[in-house]
Amino acid sequence: MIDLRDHLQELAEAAAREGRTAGPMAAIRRGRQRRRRLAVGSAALLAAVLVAGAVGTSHLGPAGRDLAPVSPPPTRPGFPAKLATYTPNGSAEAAVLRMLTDRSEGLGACKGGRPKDVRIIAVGRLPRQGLLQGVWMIAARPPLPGEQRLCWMFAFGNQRDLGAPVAYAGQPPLLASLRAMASGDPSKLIVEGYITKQAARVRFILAGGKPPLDLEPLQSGSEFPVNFFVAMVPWPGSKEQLPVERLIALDGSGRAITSCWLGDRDPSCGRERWR
Amino acid sequence: MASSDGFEAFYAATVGRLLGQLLPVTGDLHEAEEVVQEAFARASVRWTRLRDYDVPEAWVRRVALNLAADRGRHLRRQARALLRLGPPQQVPAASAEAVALLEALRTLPMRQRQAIVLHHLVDLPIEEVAHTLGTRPGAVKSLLARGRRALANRLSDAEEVLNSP
Repeated sequence: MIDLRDHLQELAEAAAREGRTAGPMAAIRRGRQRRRRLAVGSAALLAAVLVAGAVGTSHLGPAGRDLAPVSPPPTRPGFPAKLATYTPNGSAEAAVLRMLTDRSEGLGACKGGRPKDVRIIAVGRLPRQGLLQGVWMIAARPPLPGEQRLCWMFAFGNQRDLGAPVAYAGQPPLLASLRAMASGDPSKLIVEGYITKQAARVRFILAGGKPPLDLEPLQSGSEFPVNFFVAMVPWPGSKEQLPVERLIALDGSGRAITSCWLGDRDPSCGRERWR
Repeated sequence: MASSDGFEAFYAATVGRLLGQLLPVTGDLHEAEEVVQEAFARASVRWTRLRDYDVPEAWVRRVALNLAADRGRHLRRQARALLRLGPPQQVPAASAEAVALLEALRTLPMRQRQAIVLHHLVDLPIEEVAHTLGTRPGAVKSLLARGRRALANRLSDAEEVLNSP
């Protein structure tokens, strides 16, 4: 028997009981960060930055302007690195690292994996152009044997301004073959996620018939069931259509393993369960 | 600094209730946590003004509802306003009937979900639902009727849903 009101109430009580938020002080900090970010104003993105080892990239850019992708190695040698032995390179990296390991907002708030065991998967520099300056970082906790969830986090910024588009307070979702999340500022779209290790590349199908873009995943090492990826794509007007429509995981011979839609219509990046 | 004078107490008193109200809208506990926390973050920088409202919770709920709707449609301008793309997956422990209802709610358009939650869970009268959603009372009645009908089609005990007060 389904009674709408009763079962809504039951769901609400369950959510209130099990829901985990980072608390009022974290909300205040987040509010301040957001206000600072808004105060910066808009800025044009002059370059596309593709990280995660861009391969076979096609030129991207608004109005047909070629934007040569900058493909810096996303990491210095030695990644993934254990937190205990990792030394941040500069104050921006140190600030992002502090956020990643924060007990209320960072990986410390995520339930899963080996609690005190954090791996820095990759670090890279944000484009000099655009709103956000500093570095980006992916970190994760190696899952326990048989664990079907993954504590991971993606954050960026500098000592003054930080953001964490991916952070889990509590239990993270079940693993998927391909999970992608995205956030944007007025100049660019940042897409980050993870992908099954069967995949040799992630293909980004771009809007407007632009040539697709392939990225090599960031290797996470043997402790993780997935590899990660990060891409930053120009998005000069954030009210425009998303510049990335779809993601396809390709194996070493170019065969599609799985795919998902990132755009407005029926987004599905994370729907396909782990295999 | 954003005044925390009374904000922490307000947060503690309302966060659970708002999570409960946003879960049926987002269909996903993580998503509900994210939009509620973001709504509180926005409230924190306006707290000196909001604390004088009769019901500041209504402001936070409205912002969270808007965020939930926005996140399904567009990426936001701010980097912090994350869009978690993908299906709802995190469901709190509840009876099979409640979980089935949550699954069915996910299939409804966002406006119908919002109207159903505001009317049947928050217990707002039609006029207040209309005010919260920025629409007319007649439109809310239509949203509710269509939403309940759609739920009935997806759930086994259609009559109970359709007859829900």
